Amino acid sequence: MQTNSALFGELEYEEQDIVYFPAGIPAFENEHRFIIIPGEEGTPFFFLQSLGKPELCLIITQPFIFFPNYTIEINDEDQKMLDCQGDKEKLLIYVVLTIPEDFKQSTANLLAPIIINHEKRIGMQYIAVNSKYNTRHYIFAQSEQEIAATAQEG
Amino acid sequence: MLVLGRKKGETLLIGDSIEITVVEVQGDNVKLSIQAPREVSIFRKEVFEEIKSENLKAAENVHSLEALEKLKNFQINDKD
Repeated sequence: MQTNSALFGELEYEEQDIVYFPAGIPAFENEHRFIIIPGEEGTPFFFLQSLGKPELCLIITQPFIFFPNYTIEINDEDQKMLDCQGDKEKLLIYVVLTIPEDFKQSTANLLAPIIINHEKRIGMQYIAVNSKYNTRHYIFAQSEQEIAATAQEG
Repeated sequence: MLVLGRKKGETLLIGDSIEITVVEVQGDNVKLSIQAPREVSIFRKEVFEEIKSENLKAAENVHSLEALEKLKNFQINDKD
C-alpha cells in the first residue's frame, strides 16, 4: 500500500504496519490510522505519520533514553482500551517531541505519552490525571543562561 | 448552558451514571468528587487544552527541515 507524506513523499507500507488510534490524538481527533517510521539508523527518533493527513507527522522518541527515571501508570480502563490484558510487555511507550529552530531546546511531552500495543496495533495518547510531568521537558541538558533566555522568550 | 448553585455536600446527577458532589469550598477553591463509569474520561480542561496545543506545535515544527537534518545526525551520546 502507498500513502503520501508531506515529509517523506510517497511511502510504502503494509496492512500490518498500521496502528489504529480509536480516539485519534488531541487536536487531531479524526485521524485514526498511523504508521511509525523509524528515523535514521542509530538515532532514537521515530515518525508518527498519519495515513489520512499527509501533513500530519509527529516526531516521537522512547522517553527512557532521555529520561531514565520516567514512569507512567496506566489506569485499568485505558489498559482495557489498549487490549493488553495487563501485559505491559505488549506496550511501547513514546513521547511527542516539539523541535524548535534551535534543536538544543527540543522538548518532550512527558505528560501525555503515546502508548501502543504493538501486538494488536492499537494506540492512544494517554493523559494521566495526576501527573508530575508537563508537556515541555527539555531533552538536552540546559545551561542556566539558556533556561533564562527561553523563559524570557515566553 | 445550565448554571446552577450547589452547597457543600450537595450532589449533581448527570444522566443516570455520573454524580458530582461538592466536597469542600474554600474561597476560590472548590473540591469535587466525581463518580462516573470507567469509560468516561475525566480531565482538567486546561490540561487537555495544553496537550492539544502542544500537539499542534509539535506537528507544525516538523516542517522545519533544518531540525530534521539535526535529527538525522544525532547520536545517543550527544544527549549530554
